[in-house]
Amino acid sequence: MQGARHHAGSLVLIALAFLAASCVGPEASSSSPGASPSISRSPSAPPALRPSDWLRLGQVGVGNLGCNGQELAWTTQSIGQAKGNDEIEIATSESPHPHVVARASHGGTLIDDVPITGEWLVYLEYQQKGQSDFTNFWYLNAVNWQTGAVIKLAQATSGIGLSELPWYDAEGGRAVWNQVDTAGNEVLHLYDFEAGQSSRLNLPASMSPFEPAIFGSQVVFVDNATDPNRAQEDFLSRRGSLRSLDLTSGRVSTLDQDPTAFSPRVANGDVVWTVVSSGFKRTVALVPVAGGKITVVGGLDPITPQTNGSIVIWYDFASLHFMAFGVKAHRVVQLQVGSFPDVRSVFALCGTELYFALPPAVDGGSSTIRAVDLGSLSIS
Amino acid sequence: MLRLSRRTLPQAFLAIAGALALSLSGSAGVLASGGNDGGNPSGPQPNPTIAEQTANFTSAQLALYSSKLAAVHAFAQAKASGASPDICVPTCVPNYHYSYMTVIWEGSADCACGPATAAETFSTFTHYYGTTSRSLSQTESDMQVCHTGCGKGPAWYTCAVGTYRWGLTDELNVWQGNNGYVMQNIYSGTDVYNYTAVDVGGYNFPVTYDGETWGPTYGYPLDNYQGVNWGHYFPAYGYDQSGYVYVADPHYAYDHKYTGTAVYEFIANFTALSPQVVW
Repeated sequence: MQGARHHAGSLVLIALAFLAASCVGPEASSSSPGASPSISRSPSAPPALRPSDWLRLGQVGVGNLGCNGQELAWTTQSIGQAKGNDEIEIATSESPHPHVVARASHGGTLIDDVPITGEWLVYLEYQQKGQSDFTNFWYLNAVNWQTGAVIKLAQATSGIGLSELPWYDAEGGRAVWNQVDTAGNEVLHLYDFEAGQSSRLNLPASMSPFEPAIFGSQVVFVDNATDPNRAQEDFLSRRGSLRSLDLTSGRVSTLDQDPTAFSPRVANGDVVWTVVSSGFKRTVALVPVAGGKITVVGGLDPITPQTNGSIVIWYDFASLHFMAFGVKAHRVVQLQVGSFPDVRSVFALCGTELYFALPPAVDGGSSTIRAVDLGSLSIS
Repeated sequence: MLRLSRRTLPQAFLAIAGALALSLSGSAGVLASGGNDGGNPSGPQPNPTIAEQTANFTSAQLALYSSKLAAVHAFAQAKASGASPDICVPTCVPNYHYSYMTVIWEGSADCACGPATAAETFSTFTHYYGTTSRSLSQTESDMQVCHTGCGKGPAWYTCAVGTYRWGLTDELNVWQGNNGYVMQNIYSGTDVYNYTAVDVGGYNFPVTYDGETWGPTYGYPLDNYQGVNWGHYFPAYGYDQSGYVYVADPHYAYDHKYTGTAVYEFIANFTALSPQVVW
């Protein structure tokens, strides 16, 4: 996400005030081993997709969407009111009658991810300290969206734990997150909802894992230890090599050694993430969670790709459209969703349904969660 | 793509008196409802009028402020009309320009984007105007007190609370006098771009922005701050002919470009003050 740019031939004279000049931006990585040629050639003409209004939320902003195939959850904050009113709502995708499952209880914000596994939803409440990347507090909780029961998974209210927010995911009855321990080391934790037990995942001490994602027995994470710029990074700007941990065997594998990976997501056997390729250009990449050939999907200026195993989708800041990549067809298309000139929004890919919510500023002053079926795309 | 044919703007100076009178008569911004705004300093925000902000300006600074206002007006008119917006006030505003600026990382303490923004801005003045340089530790120290016009106001910066917008404005005016900085109201992404182009392209004056990376109305406007609600400051050192402004983000310690619209939405996400640039 941090595509630093140099302007050849321009008058830009950016100089670092500290000696670690490399942190201006990582040098371009070499092609990932086994990568197929980029197929982000000129995308095909955009198919016109007509979204339906799934749920009109009114005068709130939506911070994030999450789904598990049956349920859809989202975070909201009212417009024009004092903060502290953040809520998380959930509804079944077939019947959009939402109910509130969590509210900000410490005066923080709830806009972060809302992964769902079974009847459990994981969410984060936090508050920034001043304008730093430190926090005054954070609480990572899971709520049973049927009973309202809450489990406190992790928290930081003092000490070194305030220096970063955790990244987290949930799937298959388990939640996983990264957290800095009292010695300042980055570690992964897992919570098993059926067993009601939390454990620290066993990884080599040389690794610095963050941004975990889970699918079945595989935990995918980014290892910041390989990032040459890590001394000048905070938790928001970290990158690293993409690795996986098999929870059954305890085996750790490297999915991509390139040290510029970030934002991995995993679903239905595939991992998608963003990597910074040559020229500081962001690119989407794809690999089977079991490892293998890396597909460099491409993208003009992509962020936060998601996949359902057959389609990879992302919003592209350069084209202002959603872009989709067919895993089998190996083809990228630019989607024309409705008539929105810029479809920048929070979104969740649930099966073949893409749910998204535009900012109220470009949607008549209120929020609507819309849905569009991508199943008919010729690339899927 | 804008093409420039250079021309002077004597008519711009005819508008000075009117523009200045209009500007001085109004508040720099009206406090929006919304109050506590998470990452940015909560509670009362110093929000002086332009007249209050310029009370200590020299006559040269006042004249320059008027010239810049006229230039923005002319620049916007030229662009809107489709004409080549070449504005000379007296320095011509090219269709793109990137000034010198030293990128300063907030550092391991990382609670100082406001003072870091000030230090980055001073690096540009030192380069072009030979003014005294100010390090991050110096601006951090400077801004822990309120210099002018603040009575019993808050410290302009603390690690726990952050930086007040007027605090940054005040700090920028203490250590250089080439530009008299004010909190200037803006109303659109086009305004962000135009004001930035005139200051950077015309004078090598950086422009600073502060806002929030998420808000309920505009969502996440910045591509490299997705999924997080953070209050933040950064200065602009450049702009191109495609509507982008270029910033030296002290958080990431590198340069990045955003559309004027993205920056406007970032600024507008912070609702405790009206959308403004420090200009």
